[in-house]
Amino acid sequence: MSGGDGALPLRVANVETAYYGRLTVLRGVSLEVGAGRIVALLGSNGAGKSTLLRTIMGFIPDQPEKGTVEVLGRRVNGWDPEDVAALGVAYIPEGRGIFPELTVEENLRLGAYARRDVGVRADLAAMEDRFPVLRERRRQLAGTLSGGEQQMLALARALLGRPRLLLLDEPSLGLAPRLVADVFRIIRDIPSTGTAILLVEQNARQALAAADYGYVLESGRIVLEGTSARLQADPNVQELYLGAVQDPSVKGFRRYKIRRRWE
Amino acid sequence: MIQFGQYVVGGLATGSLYALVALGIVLLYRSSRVLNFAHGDIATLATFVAFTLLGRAVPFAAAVAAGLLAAAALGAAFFFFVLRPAREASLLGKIVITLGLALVLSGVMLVTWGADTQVFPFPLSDTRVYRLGGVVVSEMSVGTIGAGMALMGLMYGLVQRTTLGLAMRAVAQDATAAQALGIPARRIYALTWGLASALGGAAGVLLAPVVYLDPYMMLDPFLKGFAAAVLGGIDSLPGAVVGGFILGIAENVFAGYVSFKFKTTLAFAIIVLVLTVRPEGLLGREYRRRV
Repeated sequence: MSGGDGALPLRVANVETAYYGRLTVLRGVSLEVGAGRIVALLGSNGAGKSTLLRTIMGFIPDQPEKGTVEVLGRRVNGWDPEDVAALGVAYIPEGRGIFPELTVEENLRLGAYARRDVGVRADLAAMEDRFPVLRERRRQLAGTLSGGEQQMLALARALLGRPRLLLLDEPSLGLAPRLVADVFRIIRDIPSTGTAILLVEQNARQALAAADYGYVLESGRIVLEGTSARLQADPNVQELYLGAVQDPSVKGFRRYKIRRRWE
Repeated sequence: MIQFGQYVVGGLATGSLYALVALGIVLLYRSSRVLNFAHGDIATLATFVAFTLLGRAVPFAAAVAAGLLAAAALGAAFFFFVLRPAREASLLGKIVITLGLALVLSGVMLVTWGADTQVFPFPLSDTRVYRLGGVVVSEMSVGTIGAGMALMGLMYGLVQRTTLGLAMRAVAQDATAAQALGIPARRIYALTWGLASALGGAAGVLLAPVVYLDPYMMLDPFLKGFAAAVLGGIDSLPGAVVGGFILGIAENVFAGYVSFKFKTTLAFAIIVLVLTVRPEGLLGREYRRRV
């Protein structure tokens, strides 16, 4: 496989995506994910976060309309999702994409479907050590797992493919706060095994705590980017995404206008 | 009692044919929710291909294999060149497309082979019989039941025990998630179409020596297979087998004791009864899941 180890796991340049060729959702998005990095993509509902992930994977037919998606140095515009995945990309969609009527073990085995090496069995065992609950529930249908367990299963299954890049869509959605902390603890450990992560989240506090770098997407445009520390310190991010309390003020409206301008 | 056993054995032979047809229908329904109305016609075409090759002195096994391969190729091609380009069509639209394929195929067969019934040469005889404690079983019935069971066993092994089967089940449940794991969903769909069509073709080849071969040969078995699939639960492969055998045996017993003319009526009466009590079919799960 070409691409080499020096290539960036993900480079997105000036991507424009429209649904049905009319409804433009992404209006020139550029971002990069470096090897071994966790990059957070923040934004409110409808900003286009999930659309960007779907565009990268090739799930939206004939898109992106403009721009380039490069995965591990290969231009993947117009590729089929299974081919993008085979390059070494794992994608956990919102809703986790587990197969409810297959057992936990069968779900895990499918994570290694594209692999042709002999280490699969050992990796399966190692993954069950890492997620003991999955070993307990191995013969159970995946649909009977709780939301947190399903997210663990989705993560374990994705990692079994030994991806170079992991695309995560709202891993905290619908989970109790304690489980969210558990899930993020696991996510923070992933880069040590050589997998870079693009993390789409609404839970900005957790996402920025885990990530090295972050982008803020609004109405299909990147309006702000920087290191996690910088974003955490940014007053607009604090107010909009971290829920920092501001003094109630008659100038609220003016501040609203300011914050929409993103300096 | 011997009489009853006789009817049951006859029913087993018919039932394994229904079960094979039903398996093909269920396989496709599970993978894409499409009901394939061309299933019977593809099966008849496979039988005609085998018939033509037999007429040219091709050995029986090779001729049948070629017929089944032709059915598989036709099924896969239909997916790639017709259903795939029409993927934006509604489910109902796709079902109507399969109906169109059925009409096209029966037209092609009429033109190519004519409407006359043909005798399909088969290495097993319908008149040479075995006796099992009073029950008479023809060689043909033994062959049909054996071949049917073997094919069902193969299908079970493929779907439940192999990685390919696992991928088929995954794609049937959530094609998007499967693709995200690198599973080539389209090729799996095409393979499913090919397998289902070949299963139908096998049923056609086993049926042809009993009922004679003509372009409409599979009409009744297709409807019965469809009914068997619904009876067993349209999303359940074991259900298709159970439904096929129940239908085959019930039909034969009823025909023997009560009325031959009304045996089909009875079959559908059973289906109405079962669906009233269990709307999802005997082994189906879909209804419960949707509620």
